[in-house]
Amino acid sequence: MVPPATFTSYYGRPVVKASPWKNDIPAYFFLGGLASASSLLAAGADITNRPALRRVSRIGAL
Amino acid sequence: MPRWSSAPNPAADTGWSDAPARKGFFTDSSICIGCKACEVACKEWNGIPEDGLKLLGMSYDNTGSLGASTWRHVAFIEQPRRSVATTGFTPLPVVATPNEATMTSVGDTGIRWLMSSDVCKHCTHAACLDVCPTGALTRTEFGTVVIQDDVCNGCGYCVPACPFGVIDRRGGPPDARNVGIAQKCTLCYDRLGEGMTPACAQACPTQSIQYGDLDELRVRAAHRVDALHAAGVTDARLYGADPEDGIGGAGAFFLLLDEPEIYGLPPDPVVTTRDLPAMWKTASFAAAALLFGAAAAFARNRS
Repeated sequence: MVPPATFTSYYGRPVVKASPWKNDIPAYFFLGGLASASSLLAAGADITNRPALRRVSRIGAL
Repeated sequence: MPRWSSAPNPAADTGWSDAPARKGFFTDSSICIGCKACEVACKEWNGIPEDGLKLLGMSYDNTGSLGASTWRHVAFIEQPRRSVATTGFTPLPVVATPNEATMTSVGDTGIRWLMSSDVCKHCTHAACLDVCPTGALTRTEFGTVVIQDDVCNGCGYCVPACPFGVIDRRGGPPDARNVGIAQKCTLCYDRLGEGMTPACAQACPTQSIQYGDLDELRVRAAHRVDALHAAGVTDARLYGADPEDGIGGAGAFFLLLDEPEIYGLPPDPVVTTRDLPAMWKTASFAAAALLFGAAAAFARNRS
């Protein structure tokens, strides 16, 4: 039977480089998702005539 | 089985008309003596700043890894005698001519030295090139991959895209050129244009680093492996020489004396952009789910 493979590398160094992105890029992605979902909710609120939800979610989209 | 369309000539594939023969490196680690002349020559010629004078405790290797300011990296591996084999490992023939089969082992020190000069592989299917949004990474007429430091905006997409961990953004020193810009081996594009040999290959005293037309180098490498196998070095193998592998064959390939992992190379590298269709599928599913969820939230009328 083949023994289970174990990770070996040059002095335990990672083979690929980690992304140089710091916290600001994931935060930007998260805020972008938040804004897009909020704008969708705002559009829905506009169509179904819910002024309170429309105002709140438009502010959220900003 | 080829996972990508065969592109034997990436330069012509990119749109270069009457491109010269594809150029590359063949790094024969069996005759590398670990002198680091390639590292020094590379730094000198390309004007690369110093990137840390540290003792890393990794044998004679105090360079660490390839990076923005290290375009050639000599790996040093002190390999203990393996427990599985009764006689240890294959000793290297010091003179590899077939008629002079003098096998000289390293003696009874219990270790053998593996040294190999690593470099950018200049892949046929280069992921760094695929993901670059600015067009700073380009395919040259020699089939190599070169980054234009004045075009790169330092976005960092290419850094995790490289399956070998070669390219990186320059972190310092603060007064150096191009800090924050991604850098890697250019295969001395400026020298190639003048018909010269790249600095590392020029400096290599044992011709461990051989430069030339890739087709010719592949033939030469195959002969070298056969000769080593005939001399009893059964662990000798080529790495990156197969045009059918996950990166379509490397422009800079290697002769290794052990498994690639030992040298810090991925055993089966794959161009990372191969997974893009699957990723787009997942992303569009997520977008559809968001749209559907938003619509469902307003589906019922207020009673």
